Amino acid sequence: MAKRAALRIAVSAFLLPLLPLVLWAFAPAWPWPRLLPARLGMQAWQYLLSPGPGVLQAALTSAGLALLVTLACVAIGLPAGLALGRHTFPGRTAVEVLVLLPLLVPPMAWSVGVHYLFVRLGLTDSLAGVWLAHLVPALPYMVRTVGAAAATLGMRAEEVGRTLGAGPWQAFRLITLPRLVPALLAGSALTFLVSLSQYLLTLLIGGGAVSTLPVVLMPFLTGADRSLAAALSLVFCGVGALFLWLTELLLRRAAGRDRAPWLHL
Amino acid sequence: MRNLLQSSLVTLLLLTLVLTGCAGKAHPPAPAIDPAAADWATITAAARGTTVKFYMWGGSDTINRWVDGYVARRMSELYGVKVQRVPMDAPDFINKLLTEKQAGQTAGSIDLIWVNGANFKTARQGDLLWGPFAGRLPNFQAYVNAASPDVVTDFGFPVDGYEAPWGKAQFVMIYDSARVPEPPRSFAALAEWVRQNPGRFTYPAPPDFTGSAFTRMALYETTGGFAQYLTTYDEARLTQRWQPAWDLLTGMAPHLWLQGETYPETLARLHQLYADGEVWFSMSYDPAEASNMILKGAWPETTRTYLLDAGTIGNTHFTAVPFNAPNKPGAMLLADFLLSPEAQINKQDPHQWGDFVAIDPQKLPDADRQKLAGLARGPATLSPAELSARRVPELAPEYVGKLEAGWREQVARRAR
Amino acid sequence: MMKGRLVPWLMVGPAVLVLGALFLVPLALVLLQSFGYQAVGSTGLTLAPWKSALSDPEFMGALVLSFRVALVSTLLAMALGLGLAVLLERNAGRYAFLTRLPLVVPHLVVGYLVLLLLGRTGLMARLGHALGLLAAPEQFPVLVNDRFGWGMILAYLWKEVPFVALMVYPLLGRGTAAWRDAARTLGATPWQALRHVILPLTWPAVAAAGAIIFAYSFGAFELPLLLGRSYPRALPVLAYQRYIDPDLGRRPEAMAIALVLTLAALAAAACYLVSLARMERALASVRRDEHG
Repeated sequence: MAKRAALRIAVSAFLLPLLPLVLWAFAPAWPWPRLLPARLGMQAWQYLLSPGPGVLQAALTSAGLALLVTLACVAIGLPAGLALGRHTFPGRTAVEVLVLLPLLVPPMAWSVGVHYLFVRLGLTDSLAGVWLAHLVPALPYMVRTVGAAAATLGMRAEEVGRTLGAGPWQAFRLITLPRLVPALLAGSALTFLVSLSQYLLTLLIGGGAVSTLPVVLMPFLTGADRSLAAALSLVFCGVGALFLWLTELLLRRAAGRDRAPWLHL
Repeated sequence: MRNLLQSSLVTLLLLTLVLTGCAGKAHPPAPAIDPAAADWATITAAARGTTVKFYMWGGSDTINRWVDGYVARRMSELYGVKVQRVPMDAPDFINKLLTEKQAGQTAGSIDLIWVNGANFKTARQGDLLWGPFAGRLPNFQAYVNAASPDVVTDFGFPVDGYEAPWGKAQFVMIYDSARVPEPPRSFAALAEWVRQNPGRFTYPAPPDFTGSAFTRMALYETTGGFAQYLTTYDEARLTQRWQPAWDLLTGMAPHLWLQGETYPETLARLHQLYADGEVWFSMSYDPAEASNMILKGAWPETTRTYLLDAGTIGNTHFTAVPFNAPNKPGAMLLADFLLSPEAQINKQDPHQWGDFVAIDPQKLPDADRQKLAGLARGPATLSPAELSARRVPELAPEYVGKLEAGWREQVARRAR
Repeated sequence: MMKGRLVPWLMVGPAVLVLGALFLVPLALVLLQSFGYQAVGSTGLTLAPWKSALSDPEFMGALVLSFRVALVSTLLAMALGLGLAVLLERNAGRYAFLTRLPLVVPHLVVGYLVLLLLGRTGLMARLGHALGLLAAPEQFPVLVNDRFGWGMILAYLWKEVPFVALMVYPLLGRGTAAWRDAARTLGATPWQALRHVILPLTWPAVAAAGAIIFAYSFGAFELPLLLGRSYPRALPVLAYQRYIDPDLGRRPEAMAIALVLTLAALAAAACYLVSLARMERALASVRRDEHG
């Protein structure tokens, strides 16, 4: 009973703040003390959907970039997570710390350095440069998620497969990999969202040539027009929510087939 | 499941490659001429078919619309040049240029920037700009009063042709005439007004651009005028004389919004407080901003602007070309178009932006001059004559910086 | 246990390469810049930016403010996040969105939400007015831009509680059910079950999440710029405003402050690793018994 009530409180606490945002997105003005806006209007959306601000292009670039970042994180993070989760080797703690650091160090402390490095290497103002830069904040999430799952799974099932005659790659592919899929999908959701929400990094490395949603959104969030800021925020959240929902679908499929899902959310 | 996973991954991969391939088109290089020496016809021809990347502050949809719509369209029609506006704040692109200069990058990505004041000085000190070029623009030669102090110096720093003007800004006070029948026209009167109407006024915290200007004008009024500070930077001169300004501002503080314990960090936040009705005043460097907000329906229709009797600070906004601009001919062409009578008049139309002209109306042909004079003003915009009658200059950036630091120590710190 | 000492290194190789080149090297560059390397008008490495940054009268206040906000929001998020995870355990399906939804909302937008909801002319204030509880905005309590920093804390909590719950949830699965049933049959109170069963088993995830969110809330500048006060500013805001200052001589100071923030984050990481090591030792013996 108490649980039910507590859950209801939690839901309200999380949904309530979104209400004024949605209202503001459709209200050019909403003076005090009105409880609801006097009139609704689509001006903000008309502006956002016009070609000038380039919102559609920015959304596509953001999504595409985030997908590319995620794919790279799977490729690099899967073996790294496996190694950190299942094997002991000299220097393992150092690697773990290295992987943890980008999650902890404030972006300003290293983005400026990356900018200088990339200018020297000619990687600025390009999508490739931004993609590379996004790997840094995104990779740790993938490595940690896979690592935690790998630690739980352990080596035993694979070893059993090996004694039954399977080669090392076969054992991995048929036994461990399917059971890692939920963790991969969870990690993908996180890396996608991390890449999607990068602002300072994309601005510095992309130099304005790479237009992503945060780059377009930020001037309005710090500007005076609340309606535009609210509308653009909804667009931003919508893109993230869409991808999250897609990942969720795949996760359910994966979890459904799997008898012992690791991430059962 | 594996098949589903594989096929969805493949689809996603293909989709991504297609989409990101469409993003970020290659920047067509400008043909190799020497923009520093070539004549105007060559420059115009060289720029045809190229793209010009114009980096400017992107927080005002009104200005964005004007650049994306009118400017881009006309540049394409007249010269076959594509204008791409990129939203980026001045400190951000100055930092970018600085790093590029340090790393020796000779082919950058910015063609034209909107810059003025302290940022211009920083750019010149870091040798980040290409020029001089302003004097070579035909419209500059024809229509700009090159001797005017507004054009010769920027915040007291010599322009030397490294930037071209394109509009004029002047600080205006904004108020709701329905709630404030007679607004205070001096700082002394303002101090009295807030005492009688507590919690209805505040100003953005320096180093916000507008809040900084507000404190500068307090300094002018309480210390006997601006003329004494128009010298080369003398820190002692400022610190020995500035106490009355701090006394005024700290005296006002307890009667301000939130008892002056904190101030809105940005002008945008003050604008929102005004729109919400929490405070009854705002302020702006853009004399047309209030009208634009009224037209958008964001601010009450009774909003009006006014000037202080002693005058308010005015400055010019400029365009400049970075040292490593890849398309200098195109940049020059855009800077020149922005100075054309056609563009300047269109810009001042309150239905477009309402920003005042940087050219000298006396130099315009009669027809254009009449058109300019006949332009309606926005409901809350003062006339150019009224504005220029009460226009006072900016201070050198060092004074500005020192004053901002002084505000932190003397006013903000005391408030806690 | 694993044949081929080389194989693990090959597996972590690409990640180490990417992070080493793109993170460690830039971090070192920033360190150099904080000592004046390549600064405009500098003559070499000097301690001046550090001295200038640390002797600023606002610095101490900024440090205390940032620390307080980060600590309070982290501790609350850890407790509430764990609670949320426990709440969600049997109700996963319907309420799962609670842990996911906040992920898609960027921090700055969350700050905006807090302002729109709890500001003096926000939705709550307007509701109060509609109900006749107050007549003017000044009568609404100051919940944002307040001295303690509650506005920022609430904004951080909105994102961090679900994050902690997300990190903890996987550890609350079938693995712990047996232990908790056992505890219950032995007559343990819910509090004892929490202390002796749930907490030890979930601690690695809670601690990891805690370290991450502490570091984030200590080092981020966007939220304090929106919801904080003018004096003292949060430490990252101080760094950011030095960074964009037209006076280029202040850039090395910005780097110095950013590195102070980094040190704080590293201290949080150290705490996490130490507590993790302790828990791991305790847990290892439990796991050994379980797997036989």
